Amino acid sequence: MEAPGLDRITSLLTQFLDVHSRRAQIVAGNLANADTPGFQAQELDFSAYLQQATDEALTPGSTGGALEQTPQVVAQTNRVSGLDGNNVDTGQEMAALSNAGMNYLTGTTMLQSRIRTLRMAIREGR
Amino acid sequence: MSLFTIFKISSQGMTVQRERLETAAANLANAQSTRTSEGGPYRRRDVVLETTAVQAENTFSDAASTSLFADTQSGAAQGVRVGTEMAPPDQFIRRFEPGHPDADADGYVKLPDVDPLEETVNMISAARSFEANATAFNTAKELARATLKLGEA
Repeated sequence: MEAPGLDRITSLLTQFLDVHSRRAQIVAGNLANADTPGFQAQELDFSAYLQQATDEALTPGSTGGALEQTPQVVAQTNRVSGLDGNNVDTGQEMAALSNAGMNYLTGTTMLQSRIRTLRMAIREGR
Repeated sequence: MSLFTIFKISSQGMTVQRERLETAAANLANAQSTRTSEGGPYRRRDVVLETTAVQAENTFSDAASTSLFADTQSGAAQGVRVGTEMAPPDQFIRRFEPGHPDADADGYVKLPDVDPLEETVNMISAARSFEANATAFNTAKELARATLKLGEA
């Protein structure tokens, strides 16, 4: 599922940004519902992708690549629900928000250096 | 784009928490009110929170169907909305105060069923949750700004 018209690195970075902005969005939803009775906190499920990545890592000559499957949004099951059935852990969600944020910034920084490289090539090194 | 949906979700969260704060303030302010325009003592307000689906905007990458999260099934974001419910009209605290102008024949006054301790806890909880939503909003803003800076490279 690489985007057409982009080179491989840019396409992978775009996907990286997609994943982490989606993670930040899920965290925002969890935080907004931190007081909603019965709400189950959500997260992205990477288990299908982990399988794919593991298979690729075991294939000689493979460099790994784009996500073949869309990570699914699933309910977090490893958290204890409170009396009102809500299992949002604000501390964990704030940590996940920082994590997604830092990853996103890493992605934009790498994309920026990619663009800089391309621009330098276009200007013949000037 | 997910980042702009965060603005929507977090602002909904902040609206809900402000509403909770307002309700707690109204209940505390009216804890002793024995008269209202609809007659009888003040009835306690309770907020009811509910999860809603936030519709993601159609984006360019959705149109090109290269976005990872183009399918709407997993794409529906979780927002929140609030409703207000009033305590039942027969739910009051009866206190013996024969000298009170609103006392009944037996000398009892009907006072709103407001627990100041409960309202204070609600207030603190709402303030903390508001901060959490504001932080999420700010993070999204920083990320969006970083994305905009890509063009300056």
